[in-house]
Parts: sequence; structure tokens; C-alpha cells
Amino acid sequence: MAWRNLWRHPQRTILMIATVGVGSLVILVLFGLSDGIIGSMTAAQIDWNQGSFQVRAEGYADDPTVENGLSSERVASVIDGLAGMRTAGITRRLETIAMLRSAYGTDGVSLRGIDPVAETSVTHLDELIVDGQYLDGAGQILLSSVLAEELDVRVGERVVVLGAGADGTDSRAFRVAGLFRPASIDLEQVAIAPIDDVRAMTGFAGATSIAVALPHGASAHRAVAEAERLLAGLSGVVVADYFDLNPLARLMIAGATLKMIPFVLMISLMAGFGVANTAFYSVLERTRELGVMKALGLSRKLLARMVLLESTLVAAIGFVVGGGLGYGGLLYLSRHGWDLSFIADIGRAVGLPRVIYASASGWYWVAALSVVVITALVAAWYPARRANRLEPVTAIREG
Amino acid sequence: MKAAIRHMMRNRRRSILTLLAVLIPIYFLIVMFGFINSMMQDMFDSATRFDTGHLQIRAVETRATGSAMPLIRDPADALAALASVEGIEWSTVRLDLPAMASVGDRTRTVFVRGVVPEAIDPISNMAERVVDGEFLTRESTGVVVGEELAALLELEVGDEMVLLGAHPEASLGAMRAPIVGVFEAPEATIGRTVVMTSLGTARRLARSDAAATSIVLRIDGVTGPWDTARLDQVAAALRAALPPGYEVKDWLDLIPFVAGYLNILTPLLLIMAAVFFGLGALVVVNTLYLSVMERTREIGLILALGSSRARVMGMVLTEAGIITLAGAFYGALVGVGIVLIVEAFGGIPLWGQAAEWMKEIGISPVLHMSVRWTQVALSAGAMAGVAMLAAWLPAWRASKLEPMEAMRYVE
Amino acid sequence: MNRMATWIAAVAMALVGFSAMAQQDALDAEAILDRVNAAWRGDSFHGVLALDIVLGGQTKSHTLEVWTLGEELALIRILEPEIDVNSGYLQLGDELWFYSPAAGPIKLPAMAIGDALFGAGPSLEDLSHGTLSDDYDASVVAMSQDTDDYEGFFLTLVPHLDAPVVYGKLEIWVSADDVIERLVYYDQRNGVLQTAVFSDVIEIGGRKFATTIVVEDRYGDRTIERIELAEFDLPLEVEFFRLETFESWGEAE
Repeated sequence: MAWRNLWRHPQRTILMIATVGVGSLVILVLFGLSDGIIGSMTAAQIDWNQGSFQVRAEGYADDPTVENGLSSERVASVIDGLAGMRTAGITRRLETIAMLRSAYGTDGVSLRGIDPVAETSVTHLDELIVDGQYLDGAGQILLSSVLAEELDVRVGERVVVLGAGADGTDSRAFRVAGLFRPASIDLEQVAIAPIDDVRAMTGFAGATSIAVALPHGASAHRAVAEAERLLAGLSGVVVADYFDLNPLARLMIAGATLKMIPFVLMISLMAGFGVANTAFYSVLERTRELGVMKALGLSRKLLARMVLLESTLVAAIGFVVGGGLGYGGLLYLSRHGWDLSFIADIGRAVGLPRVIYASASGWYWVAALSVVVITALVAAWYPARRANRLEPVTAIREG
Repeated sequence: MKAAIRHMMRNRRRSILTLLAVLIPIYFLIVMFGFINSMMQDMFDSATRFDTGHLQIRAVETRATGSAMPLIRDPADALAALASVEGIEWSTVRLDLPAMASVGDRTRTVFVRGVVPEAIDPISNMAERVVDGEFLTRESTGVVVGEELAALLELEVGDEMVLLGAHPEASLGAMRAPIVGVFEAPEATIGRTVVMTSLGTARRLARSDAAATSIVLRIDGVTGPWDTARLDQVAAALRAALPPGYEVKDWLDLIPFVAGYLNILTPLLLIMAAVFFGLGALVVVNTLYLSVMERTREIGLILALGSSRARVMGMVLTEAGIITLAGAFYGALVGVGIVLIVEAFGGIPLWGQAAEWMKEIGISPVLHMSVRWTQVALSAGAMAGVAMLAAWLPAWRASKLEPMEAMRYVE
Repeated sequence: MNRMATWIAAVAMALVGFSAMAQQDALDAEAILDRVNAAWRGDSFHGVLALDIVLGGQTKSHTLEVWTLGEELALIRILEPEIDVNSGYLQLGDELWFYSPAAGPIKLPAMAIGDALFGAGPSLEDLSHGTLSDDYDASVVAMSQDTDDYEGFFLTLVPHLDAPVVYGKLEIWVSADDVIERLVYYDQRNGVLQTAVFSDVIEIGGRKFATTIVVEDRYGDRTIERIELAEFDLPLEVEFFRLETFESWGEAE
């Protein structure tokens, strides 16, 4: 019967549904985009720069220099040790601070020696090339497009890199083989060369880090735990997860969810009040009718519950419709991404990647459900109570 | 008009609820503004207090200097120009340069920041970050280093380090400097590289009596991140007064992160406002519609008696208008009231991870609120406008009623 | 960018290779540059240099005393200006030190060897090891002699592909009696990076070289170097190249 009641005044009902719908949609989208942005930033770092996790020597985190790198024996041991893991790729890197000199300027860079073949299975670096081509031989170097512009360097030209290493310094010429797009903001000041060249320069034969990429969908948390287990026998070796590699990220991510709560509450209350308002009127309107029902023996509680049910039904429909729309949008954005080129400069300043993918998680429905819950609660508060308190005789007379 | 009021009074409860529908979005929005304003204000304060100021005067970069800022050989002419420009609350000269810090045969590349200690002390939070020893004093030839650097060079307060200035445009200056304090850095890189010295010491490292890299200014009347008009005004005056070879940068140029945040926040806020207003409007339409329905017979009667449709619309709109105005007024009142109350209690203290993050980036972990009159007016006005727009639909429907049918209307 | 005495280095490069040139011409070119270089070849060197560095319109003057022994050892003592007296640099193989009487020795990162000593002007490398640096390897690609504009040799050199230099081309003017007179560096797009002009040639013990070198870059900044004293193949002790040497000067004052 509650259902029939609703459709007696279709416009009103639709409005109520819309209210709840909009509320649910907004909550879903808020969460989806907010998580999406964080996820995109995280993904940018993982997919293009750092890999899912890294293995480094113990003192490296405090003093990231070549001296605190892994010796070549250690490197071999680590790679052997991790052989049992299911990974998408493993690669060695040797990174050191160096000066990059062009005819028009000099700048400090992070010189990253990579294994050109293995690297692509971990960070897909070859897909970021925007000019020239990927590394395919010794003596070549890749620069970010930002750095190349700053130092006025073109593909094919020669640059000189001065690096300091365990054995002293070396200045060495590299030919710029290609330029890459710095998909993560850290990559802007990174110059990439074959690891053997960097080893020759620094006189260090090992690696400063071993980067590992996990297959799609694998749990990073579990993988890190497994890696730690596998490498437990090796001393002086540390597994660094995303938060170890990005210390500020932990703080930023922690703040995000908390900030959402007031919004969710406010939206829920708004929607709740909207629905309850209307429900209240409907009770007032139907005073006479309800009074009759009561006189006919319908208990107060039942009456109140009927009103409550109406409100809840409305909320439920709104929730499904609005939430569905919102979720659909998120699913689309999660697959196709949202190109943020129109705020390119601002985005870069804040650290946003160029394209963000929304996050579409089931949990968001739970958050949006709070709209329904609060609506129900608010509705229970005054409309249902009012219905409850109706005295049959007065009701019939009043109406 | 009188009829409208009468009708309203008869259905006091419903009128009040409609009023609430207008009131609540307004007060919510004001509260939101309150939090966001305060947060942005904090970020702005924290960034501009020490690091950037509101404006900076720097030398124009004519040749690549790497990580060092172009050197101003003698800022006297710039300082003279300053005197002629109005609105500058405070200014100080700074010299930042790359240098080598060495203990025994351990040398590290560092970044020396030469400041005038007593000038920045009242406004900077650097002094608060000192965990061991003390901050600089005017005569100090000592340095304050980060915890990480102290650990790497195995230094304690009282030890000495050798500093060699390495600015590409300056001569080499070397000196021995005692560590007078150790500070806690928000980020490890800062703790490893920043060395705070007095301006005099930095100048010795650059082997110049007068060199500087920037003049940091605070402008009168610029209190928050939205005071750009005043900022631009003074910046323009400065540019006109300064001799060639200098450029003026504002804090937005110098900390693109905060600028970017602001730029993103404004549209976000607008979207949130739109959502709230939309919801409120929906509710207004809802309840007003009910009100119209209730008076269907009455309206039918009025129309039959010869009233114009416009008059009917006017009736509904008047009712809506009164409620809207009241809602706007009380909404603003409640909103501002909440802000004032929260502030009277000193703000809402935060806890846990969020609090840690805020402390790290220099914001105190207490949630304050502050709101500006323009924002209050805007919120109230916008919602009132939206509500009136929303009221149009039921009013129009009311005017379209057929008198005969309406009079016979039974609920 | 190395600004000073790069002609010394430039000469060294000629020793290493040739390109598409007639074999005879190639040998001639090598011979020419070899003869130019001969003036600076030696196991040890002692000299006094006066540097005027003009940067952005301002001039800073320094006077240096330089000792080198072999490729690994070099010591530079600053004589002027007064405030820098008896400070200087010490190179011991890959180790690089700066010494200041006020502050004592500072070990510099090895990368600093390529940095300009006074913010602008020559680097340590330029001053101490120009003669023996084989970094600037290049090939002579063209040569002409006694043209209408110039009596002497005009050479064009292109660095080897893996030479750690950022310039793309060099033009050298060598006088009829084997003294470099002018050197122009080009970037990799045919733009001029810097120009070095040599004058005031003197002869010491059979060696002929210019004692005034003016290097000018594309910004208009100049470095003027005057060699006030030059001695070759003098008996230098390895022990001389120590931090204690600086200290002894400080005490003697």
C-alpha cells in the first residue's frame, strides 16, 4: 500500500527520488574522483617511474648515493632470491647525481643507468618517447622533454655528463637518442642511459636499486611481504614499498578519506531533509485518510511504519537511479580516463598526471547508502512520528 | 501580499520547513567556506611567512646559473626604489647560494640561506623548528643545519664545519662556522641540504659585502590568498619604480603548488555549491508545489472571481519570496554564528594521520574557520536566487489552473 | 665551458685522428698542430698568470701562480687580490682540495674540476692540464693556407662522436710560424659559442707562444689572461704538492 501511496502524486515522488538520486550520485562521484586522482598519481609513479616496489641496500634510504648501492654479488643474490615470485618484470638500475651539460646550459640531473630491455617490462619507458627513439646502444641518453627544452638540446646532439662515483669523477659524452614525456613529475630531472655506461662512469659495478613490477591486479602489500620473506636470508638488503619510496604520499592519502566525511554527511542531511519534508507534508495531507485508517483499527505503529516505508522506498529508488548513473560515469572514466590537458599547467603544479582514471569501487555504494540511511532516520524522526500521534477522531475532523 | 502571509501563517510548519530548505544550504555553504578559507589561509600564511613573502624582487636571469638564483651585486638601488612605493609592510634582504659543507674529508653540497635573523624571526616558523641548540642571532657567525645533514657529517651543536660558497657568479668565499642549532625539516631532502646562516655569513661566502639574491616583501593589506588585487597594485608600482635588471615575482609564481591548489579549489567549490543549491532548490519546488496543491480550490475560486493569472503567480511567488528572504537571512545568521562560535572555542583540534600531515607542511593541526562577507552575501544571494527560480515552476502551474476544475478539486 | 688556454687543449686533439682529407694534407695539418703544441709540451711547468674576468660589465682581477707535474699533480696559489692571498687549489690525482688560510682545507667533489674557479673564467682543468688533456679529441676536416685574408693556416676541426665536449666545430687560425692566433668554437647548430684571440707572442727556450689570451663568449663576457711568467721542465718535487705547502706559506707571512 505504501507503494500505491507514492504514485498517487507522481511529480512529488519523482522530485524526492531526484533529491536522493542527486545526493547519491554526487557522493559516488566525489569518492570515485578523489580516489581516482590519488590512484592515478600513484599509478603514474608505479607504472612509469618506480615500479611496484624496489629492493635496495640498507643505508640507501638515508643517504642515496652510489656508495650505498648494492654490490654486483648482492644484485645477483636478490634477483635469484626473487626468482620464485610472480612478477611482470625485474630490472636493475644505477642512479647517481650528475651534471648534464649542453652548449647552452648546465643542470643537475639524476642520471639513471638502466637495462634497456628489462626496463620496459617494469616501466614501459619506451612508450613515453615523444621524439627520437628508445635506447638501442651504448653512449646514448634519453632526456625528458622538459629538461631538453630547458637546456636547449635536440635529438641527435651530443651532451656531456659529469658524474661522481665511488672511483672519482668522469665526464662522458652521450648522444641524445630520444626525448620522453615525464609522466610522473619526478621524471622531469631524470636522464636515462645504459647501465653499463653509468657503471663505467662511476666505477661502481652493482646497482642502486632493483625495481620490480607486479602483474596486473596483484596485491602490492602481499607481494612486498613475500619479497621480504624470500630475501630474509640476505643481510643489508631492504624492500621498499610505495610509501617508502614516496614518504609524503602516505600523509596525503591519509588525509583524503577523512576530508570526505563532512561532505558525505552534509549531502546526506540535505537529501534526507528534502525527502522528510515531503513525507511530512504527505502525512499532513492525508491526515483525514490516515485518521480513518486508524479508526478502522490500524495500529499506530503500523501507520508510522507505512510512512517510514514510503520514505525509504523513495530513498531506495533514488539511491539506485542516482547511484547507478554515478557509478556508470565512474566506470566510464575508469576505463577511458579524463584528459586534464585543459588545466595542464595547474595540474603539473599540483602534481596531477595528464589523464586521471576514476576509481569505481563497490565501497562507494556503501558511502552513498548513508544518504538512504540518514534519509530514513530523518524521515523516522518527524513525519512518521507525526503519523504516529494522530488521533483518529481529530484527524477525520481536521482533514 | 496579505493573503500570502495569512496562508503562510496557517501552515506554519510547512512554511518553516520550506524556510529550512533555503536556510540549510546557505549555512552549509558558509560553513564549508569557513573551513576552506581557513585552510587556504593557513597554507598561504605558512608559505608566505618565510619562504616567499608576498612579493620578491630578484635579478633578471641573463645567463644560466643552474640551481643558484641570479646574484644581485648590490641591492641598494632596489632598496631605494622600495622606499618610494607605498604599501610595503615589511621587507628583508636574503642571499641564497649553493655551497660545499665539509668536515674533515667529508664534503657535501648544500644550499645556504642567508637571512637577517631578527627580521624574519617574528614571522617565520624556522625558529620553531630548532630542536637542538638555538636559532641564529644577528651577530652569529654560526649556522643552523638540518638533522639529516648533522647526522651525515656527524656533527653536533658546537662542532665546526668549513663552508665554501659556490655561486657561479660570485667569488669563492671560505670560512669555518660553528653549528649553533639543528632544525627538524618537513622533508628529508631539506634536512640534508639547507644550511641557515646570517646574511653576513652568506655574504662572506659569496665574497661580497652587499650581494643578495632576493628582497622579500610583505604587503600591507594582503592577508589572504584572495587579495590579489592589492598585490598586483603594489607589484605594478614596484616594477615602475625599480631600475632595470630586476623583476618582481609574486607568491603565486614562487610556489606554483599552492597556486595550483587554489585554482583547482575554486571550481570544485562552485560545483559543491551547485550541488547543494540544486538539492535545496528541489526541496523548495517540492514544498511550494504542495502549498499550491493545498490551495487549489482557493486558487480556482480566485480565478473564477476574475483575478488575473499573473496575480495568482504573484501570490505564490510572494509566499516563496518571503520564505526565501527569511531563509537567507537566518541561513546567513546560523552560518556566521557557527563560525564565530567555533572560533570562540579556538577551533576544532584534529587528530591522527591528518594532524601529522598538517604539521609536516606547516599548518597547525587545528581546524579553524573564517569567512568573508562577500562569501556570506554570495551564498545567501545565490541560494535565494535559485530558490526563487525554483519557485517559478509551481507558481506557473498555479497560474495555469482551470478555475472550474480547481474548485472541484478534492485531495 | 672552458674558457682559457683551450687552445692548448685544442692542439692536443689534433694528435688523434683524421677525416676525409687528402692524406698529405692530413699529415700537414697534424704536423702544424703538433708544432703548435710542442711549445707547451713538458713534464713540469711553473707559471704566473694574471686573469681579468669581465662578467656582466664588472671586472674581477686575480693573479695566480701555477705548478704542475705530470698529469696528476697541480697546485694553484692565489696571489691577488689580497683577501685571497695564499689560498688556492690542490689536485692530487682524482682528489681535489681547496685551501683557505681562514678556514683550512676543503675537499671538493671531483666534479668540481670542470667548474670555473672564480664563477667565470678558466676551470681548474684548463689551468693545469690543458696540455695533456686528451678529452678534446677531434678530426681536422679542412685546411687552407695563405689565403687572401690570412697568411698562415686555417683549420676546421670536428670532434669525434664520443668526445665529451658540447661544441660541434672548431676553427683555428695558425700563423706561419706555428703559433695559434685565433680559435672559434661553434655549437652543434653552427652558432658561435666562444672565441679566443691570442697575441703578444714571445719565445722562451725555443718555445713560441702567445702571452695574452682573450676569450669571449656569446653573452659578451670576457676573460683576459696574461702569462707573466712561464718555466718548463723545472725540477719539481712530488712532496711539494701537499696541503702543508699552503700552510707553510701562511706561516711565512
